Amino acid sequence: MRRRGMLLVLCLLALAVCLLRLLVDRPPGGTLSLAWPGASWMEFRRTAMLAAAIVGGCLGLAGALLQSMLRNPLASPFILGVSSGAGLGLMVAAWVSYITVGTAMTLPGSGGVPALLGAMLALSVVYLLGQRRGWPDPVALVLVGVIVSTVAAGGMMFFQHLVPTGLRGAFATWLMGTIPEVVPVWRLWLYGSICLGCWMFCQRLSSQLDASLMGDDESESVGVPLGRLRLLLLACAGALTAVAVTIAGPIAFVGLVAPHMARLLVGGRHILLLPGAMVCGIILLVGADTLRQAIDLGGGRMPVGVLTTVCGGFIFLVLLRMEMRRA
Amino acid sequence: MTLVVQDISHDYPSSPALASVSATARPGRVTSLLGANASGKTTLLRIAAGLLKPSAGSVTWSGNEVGEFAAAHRAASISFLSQRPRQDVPLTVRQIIQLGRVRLDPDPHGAEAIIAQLELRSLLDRPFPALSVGQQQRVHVARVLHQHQAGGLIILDEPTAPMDPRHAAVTLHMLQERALNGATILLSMHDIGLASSCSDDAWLLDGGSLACAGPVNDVLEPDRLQEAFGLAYEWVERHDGTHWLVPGSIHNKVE
Repeated sequence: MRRRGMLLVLCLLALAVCLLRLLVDRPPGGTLSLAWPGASWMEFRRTAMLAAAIVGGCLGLAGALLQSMLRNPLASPFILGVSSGAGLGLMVAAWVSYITVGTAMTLPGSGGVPALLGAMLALSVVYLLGQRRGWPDPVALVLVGVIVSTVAAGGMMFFQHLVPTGLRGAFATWLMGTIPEVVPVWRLWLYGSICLGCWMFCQRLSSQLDASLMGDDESESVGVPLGRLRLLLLACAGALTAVAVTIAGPIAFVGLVAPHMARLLVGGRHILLLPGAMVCGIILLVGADTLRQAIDLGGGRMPVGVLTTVCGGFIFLVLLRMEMRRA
Repeated sequence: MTLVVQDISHDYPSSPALASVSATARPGRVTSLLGANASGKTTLLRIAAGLLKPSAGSVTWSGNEVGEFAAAHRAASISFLSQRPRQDVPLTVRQIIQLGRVRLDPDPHGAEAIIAQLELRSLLDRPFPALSVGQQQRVHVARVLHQHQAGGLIILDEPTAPMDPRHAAVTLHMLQERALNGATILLSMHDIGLASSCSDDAWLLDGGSLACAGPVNDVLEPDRLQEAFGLAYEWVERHDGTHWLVPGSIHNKVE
């Protein structure tokens, strides 16, 4: 009961952070204030808020699925190379678009299909090479994931090098992780629907996910078809990561920290953990994007990915320390 | 409802584990699987539970190949406890016990009785990783017994190894009760004396081959045990007239 109450508190907190994102106002060179925006500004802020909420929810849920499936608290879309795979898919598509049409497609915000293909290709490689004795091995998966992530990151740098200097700057900004303020409404609906659809699907498997934490033999013996469950979870995690990378580029640490936050607050049962990780992801990313709005260091607004990397790393260390004390 | 292991062989990439093992475990009886370290006990139990495909041979339960059971059917027929269950499961004791029936109809009354017998009531809301290894093992035994359905097969790999003597005795008593109600019990253990007192039948493995199988008193011959374990055993009479198998050298030392 207490855990369910905590989930409700998290939902209210997420709503409050989203509202704050709409209200925070800081014109370039101006002062920070809270004000309900006019119609034209409202559209930009609402789009950014919704995009950040979708990306945060996707990354939080993908992180929770991967950490449970691999029984590894350090697993995340980044560790497994899924984000880098999606990013590489997008970069290749942008480069092909540049050499064929003469202009690169808009990053971020478009290119969902190449991102999904890249994410799924990376996941397939990780899944196939991360097996031992015919079964996916949690440790081998992470090791292969790190290598795939590194290779894909190298590929992204390679394609960034192939485009002219001006375009290279746009690619570099995208690579840092940026929440867009202009995204067609139908895209937001599509990405939001994918995120909610994956959550509803995984929610139905929550008790089997609980059982999978006990170990391969234990979970198989209580009737969980582990091989099929892992395939389904990998597909969901891949789709969620592809959505996040398509909208905002590679954003670090949200997928790693959000599930830890949720586990501490709502416990380890997936019936609460999955929505909890999604809501924590929303709080973290919309919160970071709001904070980014308020910070002006004179060089323009920084990409949100910079903030999530710096703050997320620190929060992760604190969470890790707390979990170690609890154990 | 009989477990039939027929001509099972299994090879790991680095070494052979089992060679032509054939034996039968019957309903209403507790069968102990004995053998020295690396004699193939865990491999045989995993194959018997349908969790590992053997290199050759077959295992049938009620005439059906266990390796071909659908996941839900296996959960309803075979309850299994591995030798080293994970200790870092981020759930409470109550939640882990409930997982025994994740694919079966809930049985809250059955769970309550098991919890009471294994003295787990005060631990129910504790996080599982915070328990001692012995307490964790009792939780897993409770989960396995909660999963078990009448007439089913229960396979346990060294279930009492981390437990204190009293809880080990309680666990074995509960298994004997299940056997009396028609269950087929197959468990591995290293305590020969305990095995001789709680089992009806025994399978003795020696270097991956079955040295002997049958009624426990026929299998646990001191000479045969010395050959399998490299340690002398002898029967001693207790004050109540019952007999107990003890390692001879240790017995002599006590005297």
